[in-house]
Amino acid sequence: MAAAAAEATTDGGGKMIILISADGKRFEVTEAVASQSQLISNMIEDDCTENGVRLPNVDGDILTMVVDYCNMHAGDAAAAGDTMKASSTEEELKKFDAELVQALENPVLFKLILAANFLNIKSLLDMTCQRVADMMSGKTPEQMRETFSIENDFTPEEEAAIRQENAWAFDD
Amino acid sequence: MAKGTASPSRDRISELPDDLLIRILSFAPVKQAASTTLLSRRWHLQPLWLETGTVNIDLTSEEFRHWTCPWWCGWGREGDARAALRRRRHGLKKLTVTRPADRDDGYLRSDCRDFSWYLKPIVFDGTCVGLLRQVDELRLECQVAGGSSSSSAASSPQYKYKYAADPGVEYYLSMDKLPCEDFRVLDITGCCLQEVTTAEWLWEWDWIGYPCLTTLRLRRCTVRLCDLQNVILAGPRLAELRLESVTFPDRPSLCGFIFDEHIHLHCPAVTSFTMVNCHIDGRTFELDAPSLICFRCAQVPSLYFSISLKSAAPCLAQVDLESISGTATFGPLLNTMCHISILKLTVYSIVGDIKFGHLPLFPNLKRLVIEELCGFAMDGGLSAAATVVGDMLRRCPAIRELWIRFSWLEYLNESADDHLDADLTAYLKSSICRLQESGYCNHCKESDKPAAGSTQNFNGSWQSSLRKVVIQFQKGKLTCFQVQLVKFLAENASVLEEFEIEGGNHHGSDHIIKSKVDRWGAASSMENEAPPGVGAGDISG
Repeated sequence: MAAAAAEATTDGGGKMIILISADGKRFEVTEAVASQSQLISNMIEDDCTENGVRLPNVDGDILTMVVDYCNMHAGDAAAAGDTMKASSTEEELKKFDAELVQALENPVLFKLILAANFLNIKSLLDMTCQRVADMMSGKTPEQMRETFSIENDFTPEEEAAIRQENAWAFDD
Repeated sequence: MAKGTASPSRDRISELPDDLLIRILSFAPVKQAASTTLLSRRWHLQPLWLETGTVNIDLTSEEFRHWTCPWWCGWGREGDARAALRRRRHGLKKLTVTRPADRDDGYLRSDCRDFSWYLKPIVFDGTCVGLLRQVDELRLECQVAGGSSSSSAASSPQYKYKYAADPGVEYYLSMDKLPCEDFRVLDITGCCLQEVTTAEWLWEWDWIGYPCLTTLRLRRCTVRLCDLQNVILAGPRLAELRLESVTFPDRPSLCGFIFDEHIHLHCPAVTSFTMVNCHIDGRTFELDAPSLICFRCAQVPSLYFSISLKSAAPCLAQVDLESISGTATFGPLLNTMCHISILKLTVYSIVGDIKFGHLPLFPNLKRLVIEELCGFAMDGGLSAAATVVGDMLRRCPAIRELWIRFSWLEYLNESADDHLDADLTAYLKSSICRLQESGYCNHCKESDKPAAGSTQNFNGSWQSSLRKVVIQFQKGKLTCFQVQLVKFLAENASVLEEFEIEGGNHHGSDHIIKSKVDRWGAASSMENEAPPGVGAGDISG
């Protein structure tokens, strides 16, 4: 997957940037693709991408997903201030995005959120956060704890007091 | 599905920093967002949901299923949410209400269909007078009947080539019941907007009702054109206007804004205008938007549809036009847009639908994107597509990038007529090019000579300005017409830096066509550059 993404963009032209994941995997992407990340976009402006961009807190498998996402959404960022999808249609992107987040398992989803936040890719961050919110939707606190493996560290008395203070949120 | 809690399950969500949790909670229904304070000490210590400034009310969820008259029971909860938020520094900034359509089975009184009811302070138990004061983003959505109940934006299927599904029962929204001074973003789906009219005397005094409004999005709405016009004129900072599947019920006799069969919309400050599959019914749509920068129009075929710009838009840069009935519909429009820098055209067939013959030059056009939905050559032989594209490029002397997408599989998947489908699919399959590494497929070979002969006619400055060509197609299938077009581009663009072929098949046909492109390009540059007298054999040897 990663190899394919790099291969598709190496046909000369467009300046290339190397992204290096925490575990040393290298991804070659065009400037246009990479600059969807505000972090990298700033680095490009400051001219410090020459020797590759090290991303010490993003794993290779997560970075693969991020690069796929950015490649897919590359068309819109190609021209500065461009809000129009050029390479892919809006509907197609939506479908791609939906499939991307639907397939994610819990730990991967949170790693992706952290990566999107670190790299500052707003659309990816919103999409992944929306997915977590959807997982909360309609659940009781007990069900949420189960979904996200959260340990209840309240005493029964404390829990009762909290229910009291925000009763409207807990009645069924 | 998302139960992927592997055996040593770790509480990863609680490890996220506060700002990320706040972002997550801002997407969740308010009840769930607020109930997270009960999850654990980490969540209770600082009630993060109060920092979101958001109340999402999702009436599509199970707990609201059995209500018949929501405002009589239970809204105290949302009132409390609002009251709790009001005590925080951010207050309520964003309010979202999502309502299912399929629950309404006729025993609701007609005024129950008034969406404004959901926004009345009284509905919120009277605890918050002026509920919507300082709300800067309001999103109301009435879902399509039978639609999925998930609130996720990605879950509603969108069909590009069909009108939106029947909305079922429509909800009314009385615009003048909304306090409007603080709205920055209004996003309304599935409502019938009413009574936006202002009194005549207000109208003449330049009534500014929406001083902060920058974005107005209407989807599957019904609104009288004069009402819409009033909102637009009452929002002097309105920059983004998006109309999707909007119906304008005005009749000429009812409204002063319609002259004959013309629909006229004046948007003095709008910089981004989008219209998708609006129900215009044979009328002419005239847009008067002098500040326009970005223009998008997509219409499912409508025989008598036409759209034009009434006033010049000197800043217009990006244009995205989509019509299955071809550029003929947009011809007059394109005539007024020659100064743009980015143009995207989506057409049924390049050969049949792109008629640029009568258009003037596009001297500033940098990027041209053509999407072909159904790869037919109606006439003109195998080089027809190359001829059309060449003709178009001649009108773009400064072009840098050309993107061509062939997406007939998607189109056929959504097409309504199964018989037609089968015929088209069979036809397209039969015309798939059998290009080999070593030579042409037989079909292409026959037409090779005329294609080469005709290329001479398309010389122009585009040849020395075009830097990048991207060809995208699906599942490794290209028809002979398309292969001829690729060949034409490879041979004629002399300063190309990048020629991308993306067919989703990195080892098969992509590879073959790529190597072909290299050879065609090299062959033609040799032809062009080798001075007469110097043997071409020296170079190739």
